[in-house]
Amino acid sequence: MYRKLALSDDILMQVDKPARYIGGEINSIIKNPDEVDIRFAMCFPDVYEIGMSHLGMQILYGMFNGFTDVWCERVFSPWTDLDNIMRDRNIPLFTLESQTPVKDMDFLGITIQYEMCYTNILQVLDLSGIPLRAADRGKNDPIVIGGGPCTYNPEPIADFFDIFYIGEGETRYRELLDLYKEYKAKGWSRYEFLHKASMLGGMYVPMLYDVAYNDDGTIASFTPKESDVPDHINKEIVNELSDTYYIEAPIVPFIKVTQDRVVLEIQRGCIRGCRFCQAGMLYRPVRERDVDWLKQRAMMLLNNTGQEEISLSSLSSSDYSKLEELVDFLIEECNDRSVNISLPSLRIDNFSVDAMSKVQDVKKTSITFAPEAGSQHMRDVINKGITEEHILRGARLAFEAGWTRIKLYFMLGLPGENTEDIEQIAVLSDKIAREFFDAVPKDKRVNGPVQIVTSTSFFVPKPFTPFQWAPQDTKENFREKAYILRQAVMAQLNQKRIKYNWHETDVSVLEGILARGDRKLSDAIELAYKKGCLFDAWSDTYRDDLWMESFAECDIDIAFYTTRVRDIDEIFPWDFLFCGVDKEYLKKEWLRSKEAIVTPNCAVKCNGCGAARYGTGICVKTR
Amino acid sequence: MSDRIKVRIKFSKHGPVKFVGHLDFMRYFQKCIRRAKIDIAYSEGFSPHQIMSFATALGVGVETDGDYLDIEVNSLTSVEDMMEALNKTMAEGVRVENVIILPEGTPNAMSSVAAAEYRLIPKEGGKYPDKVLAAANKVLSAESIVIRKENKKAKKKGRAVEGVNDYIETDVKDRIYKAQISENEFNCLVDASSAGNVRPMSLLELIYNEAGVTLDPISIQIIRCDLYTSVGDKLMPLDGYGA
Ligand code: SF4
Repeated sequence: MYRKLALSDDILMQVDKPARYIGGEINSIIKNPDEVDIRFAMCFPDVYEIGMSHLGMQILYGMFNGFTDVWCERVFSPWTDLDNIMRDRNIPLFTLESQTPVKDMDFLGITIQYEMCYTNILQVLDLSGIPLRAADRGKNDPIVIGGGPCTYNPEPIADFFDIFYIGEGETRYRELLDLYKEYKAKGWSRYEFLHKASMLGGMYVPMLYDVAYNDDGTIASFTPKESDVPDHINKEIVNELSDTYYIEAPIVPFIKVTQDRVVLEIQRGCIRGCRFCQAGMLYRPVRERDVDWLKQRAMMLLNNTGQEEISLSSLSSSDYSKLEELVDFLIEECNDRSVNISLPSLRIDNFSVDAMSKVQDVKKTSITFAPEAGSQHMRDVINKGITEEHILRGARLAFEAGWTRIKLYFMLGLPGENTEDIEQIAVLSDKIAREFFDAVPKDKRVNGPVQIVTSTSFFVPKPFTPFQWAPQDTKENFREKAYILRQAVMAQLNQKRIKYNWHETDVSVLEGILARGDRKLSDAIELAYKKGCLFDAWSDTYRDDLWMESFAECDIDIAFYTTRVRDIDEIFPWDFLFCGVDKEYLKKEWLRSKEAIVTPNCAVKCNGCGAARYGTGICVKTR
Repeated sequence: MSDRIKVRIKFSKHGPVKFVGHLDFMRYFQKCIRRAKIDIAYSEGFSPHQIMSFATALGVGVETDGDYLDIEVNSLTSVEDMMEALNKTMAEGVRVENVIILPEGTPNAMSSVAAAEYRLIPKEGGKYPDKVLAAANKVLSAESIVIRKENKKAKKKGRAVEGVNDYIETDVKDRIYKAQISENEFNCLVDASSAGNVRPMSLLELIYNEAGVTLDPISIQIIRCDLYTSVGDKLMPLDGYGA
């Protein structure tokens, strides 16, 4: 017989994309519940197509199911249509594999990739019938544990979690699971278990800490409630990537998901040290995977999934030392198998243009540059490490190879930005257009004239970056800057060839509040959820009015979190976490940014950020 | 090109996977073909695609014992090997039931479909009420069987006039090749060609109307039993070649 679904046929026939909720995909894992000790629900709090595109979740799913005593299953946010039906009919949220209520699981692990999913976390808890606040949970509720980049400032959602796992998931879960088995066997209280868990390393148990505030709302102290609870939590990190668990057979969704391909993680971390980039600091030091291991793994993943496309994943693939060897191998093998290759985030140079022209159609695709800032001064402020000459040379190579469509990504609202810096974005876009007319003679313009799409997003300062001290722009400033740029684009010679897009300002403000928020925000988040906020990452469902109402009703001063100038010695809500990069180093980088001094990347020189204490990756390589 | 071999695959699909729609199911099958290492032929170009075509789409929620797709391969060891390799990599509820090599010149599956057989079963052990059984015998033995369908074309163009052309009535009597009903199941063999397709659920609706009972379509599981092509004046299953 087939698995019995949690939802009746009549519900599945009326919701959009019912296959989101049925499980049973190729490589999903079914175990006998009687033969496992621990049931683990792994949740990505967004819709199925987004969650299933996330590599980290697939890695942990495979790792957990590799343990014979654990059955790990998946949970996603039901889309709003099903959400309404489940509330109306009191249907509890369920796991996809066994279609069991989440409430019956031992653990609910939630991966938190972006701030805009916080209301979805509450949705998942609520629909599961699990009390929203950790303090209200009892012995029969699953242990709610969070992981992912947002746990590097978990404070706004600290009250909703029992544990946050800080760092890479491969290292400490086994110990936590064993401790859990002991907890069940010995009949400890939930508190006892959490207390012991807090001593495992990498585990932050929010309820075990007291926060005291100064009169101005900043943090006075952050102290453990018990003497044996660590006052700092160190990030967990995998030392040798090629020895650690990696998926062999990722799940193959039935429906089309955002990343509908095999994803090969070639390295973790980034050498660059861009000052706005949180990932670049959090995942230090850079650790490469062995190229032969990657080749073999690529073939295995393609064989086991039947996917028709493979893509490389890393923060900056061009910095991978054996990139050429790997790409040449893939081009050859994939050509034989009619598999497509996608090569994202490559620096544009002779090699990459050549490689890309082999794997994509120059007529149908575009080349992407992310200069992030228009003026050299601003690029130095953010430590982008590229010059206009690099960009123009790259563009020229792309034009000569036949591409005509160029996408450019910039940020507005970077610290210290002035009108001229903004206008330079338009000037640079125009220079690229000129480069085209210069590089491609009239009779060779067979693919049409150049088309440039210039996009800007609004800068949101993030914890654990040198810009964590920076005031964020106001909504009005953002709008004004977008307007200035629009005018500047229209003033360019080639303005007809440049299309300018900018992002919504409202979500950038909310993201800014949550990113550098503290525990005082949890009431407002819960209120926003109760008022109906959900799927905030989706522009169709985002309700700025309800969010603003919630902040007002909870007496939250938005400017305190966003536009306020922070004192260099302020204690930040996330200061008790340690991501490997010292606060002193971030401070030094913040001060250097004010003088637009460039810091060389890790491949050129070690700048002593602190991550060398892990004794791995680039830090121990001879230069 | 001509040394490619045309292969027809018959499959069944039951259980939760019935909620996977046609386009997604096609993508599912393409990946199965790759995992099974079938030496399928690809189109040329930057994003090559497999030479594959399905006989007909299966609606979301409908199960099947006999649907078909045609593929072209460059080589194969045997149809048995291919069937085994595919069945090793099928999802829960999907099975390859048969694989045949098509004789030279066989029209493709899509254009061959002439008829389809269905079973319509009340879900969860439900039964057809007596009233419906009685009405069915009356409807099915009548001189004509007229199905009323909304005139979507006219509606869309805003040219529908109530009572004049808002509905289209068609007599489908001679497109129903077999139809019988018991309390457990309504079974029918009907025209499934692109020109004369008869929806089995429309027939059941007609019967319910006659009986004065309202039909909840979700309460009925539709299972397609098989697809047929016409050979002379006979119907033959799409994999009947050489049998
Ligand atoms: S310690 Fe040096 S090499 Fe290692 S990540 Fe920091 S700056 Fe780079």
